[in-house]
Amino acid sequence: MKFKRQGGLKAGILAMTLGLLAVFFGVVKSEPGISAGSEPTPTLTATPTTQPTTSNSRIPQRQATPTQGQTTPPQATPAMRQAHTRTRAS
Amino acid sequence: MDEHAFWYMTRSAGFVAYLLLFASVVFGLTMTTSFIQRLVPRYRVYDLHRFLSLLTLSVTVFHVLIVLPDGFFGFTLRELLVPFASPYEPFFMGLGSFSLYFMAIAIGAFYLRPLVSYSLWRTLHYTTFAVFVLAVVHGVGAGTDTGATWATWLYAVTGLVVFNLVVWRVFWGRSHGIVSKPAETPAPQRSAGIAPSAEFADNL
Repeated sequence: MKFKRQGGLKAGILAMTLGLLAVFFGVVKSEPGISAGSEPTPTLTATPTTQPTTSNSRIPQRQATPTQGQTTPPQATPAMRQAHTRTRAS
Repeated sequence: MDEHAFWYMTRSAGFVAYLLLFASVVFGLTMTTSFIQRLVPRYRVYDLHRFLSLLTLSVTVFHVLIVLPDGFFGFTLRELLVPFASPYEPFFMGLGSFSLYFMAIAIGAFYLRPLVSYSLWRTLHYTTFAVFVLAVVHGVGAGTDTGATWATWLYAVTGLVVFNLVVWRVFWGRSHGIVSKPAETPAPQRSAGIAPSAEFADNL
């Protein structure tokens, strides 16, 4: 019996909770800068959900090195060419 | 229906859940005081404390799940339930997840009381303080209304009240032998079902 009497109080708390939900709904909806632009703020601060990952970022990427047999000589600079000419001339 | 209704709902439910948690913590901290006992009999306060806790958990679960249909983030259930898996503010959202889980533990402890020792029950019940701190940090860090003046005041006032009550309760508890002297394990009261024994309620 004692606890049945609490039913009214609990119903009151429940009603107050629903009322608070409605009040806060109105408050956050009218919050300037959030609802005004019809876009909530998080969209501005959120990081992308999924990043397109084509390679494992934990593994350091190495520079592409030519495989054996595919080596190509470095492009000769004008200075190198001049030095080479001088060597041949002597 | 408003395009952003779910988004507004999750935000408003977050604040209501926080206020319910605040009320439940305040009830828990003050239920053994003579001031509250003069107003309401202790068994009723205990029952209300538990009811408020269950209501807090319900609104918190609503706060979590109602964001699922929201189109802005496209949160998945995994991102909401697994700590730090959220793409938005993962750290603060993770704290929110822990807050929910600790809350479930603390509330579960209400029902585990006849099955576990008093010290274990008390330890489990003390997770409520972690729940409150985590909820505050989650709300401040992840909440999009934190910058609003009313939200700042809400967090500041409720946080200060709980902090002061905890400090007061520790000193009050010591002077009444509650902190230093563990209570005897009360026998479960099957006939009452809801009310704790008087000595158990004394040591809450």
